[in-house]
Amino acid sequence: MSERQMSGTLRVGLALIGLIGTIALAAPWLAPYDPNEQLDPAVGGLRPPGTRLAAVKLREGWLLADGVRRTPEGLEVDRRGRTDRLATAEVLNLTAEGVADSRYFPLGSDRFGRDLLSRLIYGARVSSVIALLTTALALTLGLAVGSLAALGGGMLDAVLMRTVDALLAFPDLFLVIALAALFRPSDALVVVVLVLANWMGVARVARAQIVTLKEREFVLAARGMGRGWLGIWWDHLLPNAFGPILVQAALLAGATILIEAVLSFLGLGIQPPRPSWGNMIAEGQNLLSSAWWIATFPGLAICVAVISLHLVGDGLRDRFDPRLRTTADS
Amino acid sequence: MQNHPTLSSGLRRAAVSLALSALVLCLAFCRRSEEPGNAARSTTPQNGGSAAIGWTADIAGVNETIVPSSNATNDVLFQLFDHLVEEQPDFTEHAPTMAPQLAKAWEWSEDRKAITFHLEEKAVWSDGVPVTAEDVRFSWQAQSNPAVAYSDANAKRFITDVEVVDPHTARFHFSSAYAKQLLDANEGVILPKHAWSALPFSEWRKNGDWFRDHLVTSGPFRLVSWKPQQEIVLAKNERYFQPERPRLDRVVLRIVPEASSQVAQLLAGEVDFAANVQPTDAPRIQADKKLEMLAIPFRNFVFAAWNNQREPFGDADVRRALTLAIDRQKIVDTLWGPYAKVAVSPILSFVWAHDKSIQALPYDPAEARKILAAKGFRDSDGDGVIERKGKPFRFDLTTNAGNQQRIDATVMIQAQLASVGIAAAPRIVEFNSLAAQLDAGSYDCVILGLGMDTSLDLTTLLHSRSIGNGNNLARFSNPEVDRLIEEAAGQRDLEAMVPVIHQIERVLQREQPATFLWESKRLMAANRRVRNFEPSPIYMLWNLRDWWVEPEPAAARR
Amino acid sequence: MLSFLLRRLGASILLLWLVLSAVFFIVHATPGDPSHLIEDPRMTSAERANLRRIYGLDRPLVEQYVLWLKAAVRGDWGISMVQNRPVARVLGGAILPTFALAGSALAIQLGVGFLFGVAGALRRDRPLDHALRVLSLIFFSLPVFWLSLMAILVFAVHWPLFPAGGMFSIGAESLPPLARARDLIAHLILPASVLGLAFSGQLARYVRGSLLDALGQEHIRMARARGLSERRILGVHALRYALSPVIQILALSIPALLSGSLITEVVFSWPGLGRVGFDAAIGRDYPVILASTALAAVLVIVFNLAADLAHAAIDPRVRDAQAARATP
Repeated sequence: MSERQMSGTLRVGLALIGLIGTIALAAPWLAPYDPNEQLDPAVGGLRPPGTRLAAVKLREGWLLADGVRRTPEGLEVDRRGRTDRLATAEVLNLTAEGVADSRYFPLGSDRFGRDLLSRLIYGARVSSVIALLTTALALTLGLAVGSLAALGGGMLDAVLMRTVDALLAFPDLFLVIALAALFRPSDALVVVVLVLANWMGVARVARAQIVTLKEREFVLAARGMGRGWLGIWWDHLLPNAFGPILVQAALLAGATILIEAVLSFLGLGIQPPRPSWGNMIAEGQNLLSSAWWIATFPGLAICVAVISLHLVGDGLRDRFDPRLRTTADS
Repeated sequence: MQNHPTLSSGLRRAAVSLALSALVLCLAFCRRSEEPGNAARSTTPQNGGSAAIGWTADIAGVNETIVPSSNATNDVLFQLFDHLVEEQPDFTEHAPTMAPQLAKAWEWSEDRKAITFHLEEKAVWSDGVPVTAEDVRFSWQAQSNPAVAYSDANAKRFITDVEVVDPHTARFHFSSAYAKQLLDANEGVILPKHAWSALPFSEWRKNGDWFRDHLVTSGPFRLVSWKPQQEIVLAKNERYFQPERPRLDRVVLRIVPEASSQVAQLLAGEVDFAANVQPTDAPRIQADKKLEMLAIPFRNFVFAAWNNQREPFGDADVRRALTLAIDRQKIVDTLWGPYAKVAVSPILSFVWAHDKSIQALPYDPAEARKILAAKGFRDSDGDGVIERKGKPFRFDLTTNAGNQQRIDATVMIQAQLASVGIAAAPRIVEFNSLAAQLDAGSYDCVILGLGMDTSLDLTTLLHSRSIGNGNNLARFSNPEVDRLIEEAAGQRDLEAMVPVIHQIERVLQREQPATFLWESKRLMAANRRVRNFEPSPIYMLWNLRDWWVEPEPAAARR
Repeated sequence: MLSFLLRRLGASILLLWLVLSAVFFIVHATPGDPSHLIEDPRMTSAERANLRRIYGLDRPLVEQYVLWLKAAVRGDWGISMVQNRPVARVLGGAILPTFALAGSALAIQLGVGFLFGVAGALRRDRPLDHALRVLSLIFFSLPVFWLSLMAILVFAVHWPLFPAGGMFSIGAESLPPLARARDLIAHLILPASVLGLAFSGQLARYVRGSLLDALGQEHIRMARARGLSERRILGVHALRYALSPVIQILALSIPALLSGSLITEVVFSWPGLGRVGFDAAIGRDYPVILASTALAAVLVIVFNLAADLAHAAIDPRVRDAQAARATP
């Protein structure tokens, strides 16, 4: 495998992730509408991608219409096949031809008439923050436990790694339900659940790395010079072990995005009305037969994100140590 | 560590409904071209044939007294076991009437503290043994035995004895005369004493399978096979005492939990009847000429119960303002389309005892704002949320996971209340955890649905002694309502309860302990080859014994 | 070797006990109750208390734990509090369908994984290799439910070659044995393929990777220098060397296949273990939760142990290292 090709993989992955990150950061500027605005669900709800509706401003809010016609008395509005008449005084955004405003749904609208593109963009924000936080925390916890086990050796190693094994064998489902039942659902709880279910893999990789590195000449040399384990860990072990652990992290981030989607179904995901890609799919699932667009676009977004994280993981793996792909994950 | 996302098994399961719905989407796009030859439909009932039903949940067992009560289980068990009498779904105009089932006639004693049932002599168990008064007594003994812990044992608490007058006459003795004695006596199916008395009651809850191994039934169908989580096969009980019943030789209930898969299988012709159809699937069923859709009233209402024991929900004016600030018609239109209406009372609008003069409070956010201002709520810090004495009006709006309409309702209510300055935070909680919260009273507002039977008994819903012990989810305590509920229960029959019920409904309209959101219809669909099905608001398979099917060559089906 | 086995066995039993004890206390501490099953609970709190007494849930938690542990050690996993029948029978009916599905999926995973992996390694950096690697990455990254859907869409709906769900057709029990088996296989093909393909992506990547590693090793180069045929080099030397990491992956993927089959079980209405466990968790059916956890944990432990043994058998260096390492 040549260096050139691998960095290509890495580049594509990083570019895609960078794109998602940019969208998440720039959400308020990129999103055409407020992602939570429920504008006239009776007419604006469940519109397919590419729909444009006229927006009539009234004193108590907005009315949406498939079409409007200016008449001497005021305005005729078509609302899903029904025609209503409004007087000139009632409409605040009247123009010579009709009304001044419109609503455009590039990716369609959900059943409440919310703009899906705006929700997808804001959803990127929530999903990336969750993935980032979870990965960072799981990495920290896993690295700490893995290093402690590797360096402590003997009983400490045994106790810690058996605990990790036990947790790996522990069914996530019960953990999720128990936490959901014991605590009030919140964003923090979602992160806690994801971290608790995912740090063990990192711990195992970290331990395996450090156990091997610990016997290498440069570490033994440092030991010989009388350095303490903490210093060696920081100067030698951590930098050398970090590659494979980073690979693990990239894959973990991908998994996180998928699991958050699943948590939404159990009522433990991001609570409505805030959009995450996961809960958007959950909201769209009952409507697939009548409004396929609701769950499809966030689903695609998740696929792109997960594949690009895998590409990054692959790229990193081959960059740090081409031989790792045979052993790092076992 | 494997790289593949390690969803736990349950999490994966949860992702699946999504998958199934996508399948439905696929079906929508890849419609099969075959069209039914819409031949002339015969009108004379046919005997024989079979029907396959897409059923939502497996039965929990065959012995009604030890299984958790659920529609899915009861509907099937009532095909296997008969009651003494059968409540008719005619409660829209008057109190429900009773039709004979195992009892061909019944009469009241002079003091109305006893009811005597005369059993049908021709009725026999599936092993040929006659159904007798001993079975009736045995059933009552089982239902009221604490070790059996029958889930409707409450209905038996005023029955002091069931006397065997002669083999075909049983007399129920009550400790007092009250309105729903007949309903209480009839609660639960009649069990086979000769087959099941061999196992002591104390052993019943540990041996659910024993009853299946010793299954003897009395109903129009018998159980042929039961593969848990797969299918339940019923066959005609040739010994059933009623003539021309049942007409079908065989009924297969296929367990298909997801509503969208039921519809998919119905469209594909794999099942003839889908028991659970979501409103969003309705257009596809209506577009298919070989299918027929039914929307029947459902004895269930969905409400937002304000926890009256938590401030500021203890104040009737505040609760009224909350109701005025929720656009219920818009919620119903958006979530249900034509299949629901705004609810105003726990006594459903199609029940005869409902006071039809009660109008739903309108959607009037301006009035709501005025009431809240008068109660001292204003937004003095300009954050968009009103507060009183420095305490902002924020609360958790809780509902259970798995019910999309209720979750959607929290989203709409959140947005609507925000426009009057109230910050509601939707919280979606797994059902069993929510149930624990309900018992403990640790919630602000919960959106749930409740079923109502025709007994007009509002004790568990609104009486103060049902707070944390029953379904008084609003934790509503009102001496006037307590007194009226007791007064209603003491009437001599259901008709006599109606004026008191109307009084209660008017108090509720004033007090708004909860905001009633909607009463929806239950949607079902069937292949047109199935005839004469009349799901009742109580049971979907209510008249399964009278269903019949158009003869059709086997090759044409699957 | 024997002492290594014994030590591993001891550690495994300890692990099992730890997991089950943790599950026991966590599920009992979780709010909710087996009597809360129904949406419309008409039960009064007195009736619910009566039920709790019947099932022994009113006793102190430690006492319940000791009673449960004593019974479990004897092999008595109790009575399902929801279905009122022995847990063994509840799980028993679901084991075979799950094993049938996971076993078929494993066969497909092995077939496709090795085919892709070996072909990729032999045609390294050629177009075929790239195509297979992209395909593996896609299998590996896509959610299982998406693959399930596509399978149903294409092979059950668009071209109705296979049934969309269930384990048997309605009325299959009256068919002769051969036709019944054919009916079962027809129902098995889609879910098993989906599951097998989803897991094969990972296997293919490992097979390819470790094979390339092996081909670069000293003794292979020596063998090549000695003029052994490529086929012999690949078949005997390289594959043998490459097998040990692959076995590790397989051992990990078998329990994952079993638990991962849940999503497939539900999409295809397959009556397996995953569903039983999920329903038990939702219904707080404690005995069933504990028994299904135990089953899952035993599977993880057994396959891990089997992997280590196989690993040791294939590669003597590992055996020595493992024996030397004090594994408690």
